[in-house]
Amino acid sequence: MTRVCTVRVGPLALAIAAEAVQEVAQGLEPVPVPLAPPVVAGLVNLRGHVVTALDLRAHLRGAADAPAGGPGVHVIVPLPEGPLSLVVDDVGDVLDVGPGDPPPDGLAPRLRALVDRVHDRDDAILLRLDPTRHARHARGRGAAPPPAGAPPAPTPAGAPP
Amino acid sequence: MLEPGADVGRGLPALDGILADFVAEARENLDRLDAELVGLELCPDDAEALRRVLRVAHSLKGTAGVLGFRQLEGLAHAGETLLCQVREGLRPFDERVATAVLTTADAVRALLDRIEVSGGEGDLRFGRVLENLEDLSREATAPDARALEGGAAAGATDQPPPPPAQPWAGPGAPAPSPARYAPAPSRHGEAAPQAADALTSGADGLPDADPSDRPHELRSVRLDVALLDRLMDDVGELVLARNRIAQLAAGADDAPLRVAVQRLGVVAGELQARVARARLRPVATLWRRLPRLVRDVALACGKEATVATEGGDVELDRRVLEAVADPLTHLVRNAIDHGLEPPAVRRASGKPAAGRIVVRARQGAGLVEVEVEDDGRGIDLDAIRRRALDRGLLPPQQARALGLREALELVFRPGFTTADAVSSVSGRGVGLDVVRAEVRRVGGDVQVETTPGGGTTFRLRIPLTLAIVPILLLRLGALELGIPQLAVLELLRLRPDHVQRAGDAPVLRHRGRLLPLVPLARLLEVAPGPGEAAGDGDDLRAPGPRPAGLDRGVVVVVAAGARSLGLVVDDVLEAEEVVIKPLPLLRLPVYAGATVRGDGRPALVLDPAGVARRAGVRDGELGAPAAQAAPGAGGDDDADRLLVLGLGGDERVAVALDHVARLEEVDPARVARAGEQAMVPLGGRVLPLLDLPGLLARRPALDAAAPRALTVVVHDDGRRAPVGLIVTTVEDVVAAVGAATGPGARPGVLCTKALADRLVEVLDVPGLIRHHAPGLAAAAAAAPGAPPALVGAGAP
Repeated sequence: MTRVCTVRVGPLALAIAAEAVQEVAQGLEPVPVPLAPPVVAGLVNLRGHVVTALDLRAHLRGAADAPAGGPGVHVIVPLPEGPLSLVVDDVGDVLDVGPGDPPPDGLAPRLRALVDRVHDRDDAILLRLDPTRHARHARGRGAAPPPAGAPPAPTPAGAPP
Repeated sequence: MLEPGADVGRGLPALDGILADFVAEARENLDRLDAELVGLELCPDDAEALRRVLRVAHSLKGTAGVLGFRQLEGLAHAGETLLCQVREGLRPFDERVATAVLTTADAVRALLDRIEVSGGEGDLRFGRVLENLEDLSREATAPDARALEGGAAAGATDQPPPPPAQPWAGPGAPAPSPARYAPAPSRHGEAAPQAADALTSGADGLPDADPSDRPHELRSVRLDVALLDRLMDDVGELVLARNRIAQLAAGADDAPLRVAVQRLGVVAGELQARVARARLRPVATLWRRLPRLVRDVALACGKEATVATEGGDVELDRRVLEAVADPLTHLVRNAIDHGLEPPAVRRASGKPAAGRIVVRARQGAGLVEVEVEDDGRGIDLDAIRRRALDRGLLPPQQARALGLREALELVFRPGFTTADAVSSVSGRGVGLDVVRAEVRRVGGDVQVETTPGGGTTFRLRIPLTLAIVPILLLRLGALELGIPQLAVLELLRLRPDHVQRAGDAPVLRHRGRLLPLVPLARLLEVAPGPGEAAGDGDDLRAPGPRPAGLDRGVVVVVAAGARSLGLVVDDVLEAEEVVIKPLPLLRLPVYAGATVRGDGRPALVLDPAGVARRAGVRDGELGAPAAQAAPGAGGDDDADRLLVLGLGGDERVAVALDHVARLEEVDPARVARAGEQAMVPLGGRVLPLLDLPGLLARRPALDAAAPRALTVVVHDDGRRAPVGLIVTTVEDVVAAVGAATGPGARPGVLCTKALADRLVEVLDVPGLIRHHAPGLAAAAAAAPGAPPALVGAGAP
């Protein structure tokens, strides 16, 4: 069983592994970063730390209707390179879920680039996010998913079991 | 089954520590590498990122070699070779390169896992990974590429890599004599004789940890640095909370409360000081690796060397130490490989056979100096000049006239090396430029002094409090961002009538020079001017290029390398002292980082060099995507900027923008002649004129039937009297990126470059004068600085 923190982005029910979440913060106002990819909402001050905030709402809806409703809630996810804030509409319960399934092929590309596992709950389908993929989106220009076949799976040739 | 493999002295506690450090550090580097590579794929022109990736590969190779992990070393070497080709512009950074390097990183990870468990590489073999890298490398190089030899020899097959001989010594090279190793007693008496004994007794006897360290280790605990950082933040918050409470209590008529608050204040203050001290470590932690490093590098290069350390008790913030560690290792390696002569040569010149490396730390006012000194041959200035010529870094006459200081500056250029052969130790030029970049990133600098025949000293100067930097806050619409105050030369109120255009590029006449103007709003692609909603990133992101914003505002004259440029902003607000932190997760070279301002808001801080680079590229883009084509030499801070001029037809010539004093419109009726020489009175002086369309394109502008105003570029290189170049059009300002595509084909032309999508002849104005107006040249030689027309008029 994995413990996940559920979040809402528009109509989507998403989940982030609870152990990956450092904290949830509200009332942070991102300062925009010119030249950053559109998914970057800006920088926020989290108790003296400068944290990059990614607006999941802008990303998942597409840049076209970017004006996101309300200030949103910042889910702080520590990554090796520093903490990352994922801006969502709302944070829900913490649930225990099973191993889940790989994301189905039919998933929209924007989502597919971020979603790690899918959990079929009685009341809803939960899409579990992999925060490290968000970090990738924050780098460089263009928030397109990584080019096909770019980072290969770690299968070193000739490695004995 | 695990096999010992190339383990060096397994089981020794000191070595276990070294291995653990190596594995931890390598893993951390690999994680960063993954991120960089992915970023590079999205943005292949990011020279900084490529440099960092190369640095990781290089230091991995170095350490793996020193520790005897041959396969790891071979992989890193092959990866570095491939990436060097990318840097040299021999091949693009494409998906295949990224895949190959990422796969290599995974292979290295697997090796690290094995090393962590068993202390050796065991039976893991990654021949295919290596072959793949080498195949890619071979595509881009001629068969004789020397750079490939090491890698190719090390792993064309799945055979275990060559035994720990010296892969650096080429065939026929003299076998290095066993390096003498005798650490000179340091000021602190760091148990030198014992270490020497251990080392001379062979590979099985490695120096144990300094016994005097042990009681200290027993009384201390290992602490995650992140925890320490967080503790520091919490203490900061605590102090703020205390201040607030003190304010509230001051208004209350409650003596016991005030006493309690005062007590709280004292405790919080002490806590703050202690946590700050907990972050300090003695420099000696860095010194510990040096003896082994010196020994192994010396052995590998066939040199003999001793090392002495001084100032190990200087205590530094751990972040400063981290910032010093890599550059220090590199400088020591460099000193032995390049600085010290072979023992025979040393003896012949009356020096002791063993070179002496001294590493010392000194604490100064607000900064720490770390010096690496050798008593070797010194830096050969002639070799630098030759190298600069060969690589086309400088025009010939400039290279020949290169002074000591400028020549020494060149060793910090990317890819610059005077080493004859690429060796495993150094010589790829992945080095001093990275050292400088790393040191500058933390606000420091590196300098070099050399005495020919007497030795070389590299001096790192690093600010003690990493990062309290005064910045100037600039306003751009609703956005406020900082720029390091040190980089700001002056502030000018923008007067639109002073703005001129050189092609598409706005320039400002300032102090007799043309200052390229860069509207910061356009550079950063934000909408200029007030009236924009604050706080919402989407409003500030302009969909496309907006008006230049040159109608009002403030010009911030910024030094970037040797150039200066004028950033146009809406307003300059105030100065603030801040701590700059790297931008989390984002790789945007225009920013040095971000900071939290006094009022708690985060603010971006610009990196002047990054801004200049971006400005240069964008200028190129205006007329010329080709200007970006050669990343190797291009992205340099002080890349020359050229003013491209048209001569009426297809011919394009260019002169260094630095030497352009101003542009003038001249009425042809005012042009006078003295013999062959045309000239015009201008600003109280007589300006000799060169009719470039006539001289270079057989399309004389002076004798043209239609009497239209002449466009004159006033050329002043500061050495001879100004001369006016008549041109047909002023086209563009471009960064002089890319190597010359050919030498000048005719007199007065320095070289030909592919710029702005077409070939441009870069003019050698003195040569032009010598060839086409010998009278002027003679006059200049006879009376430097004197108005030449007076003499020219009398010349036959």
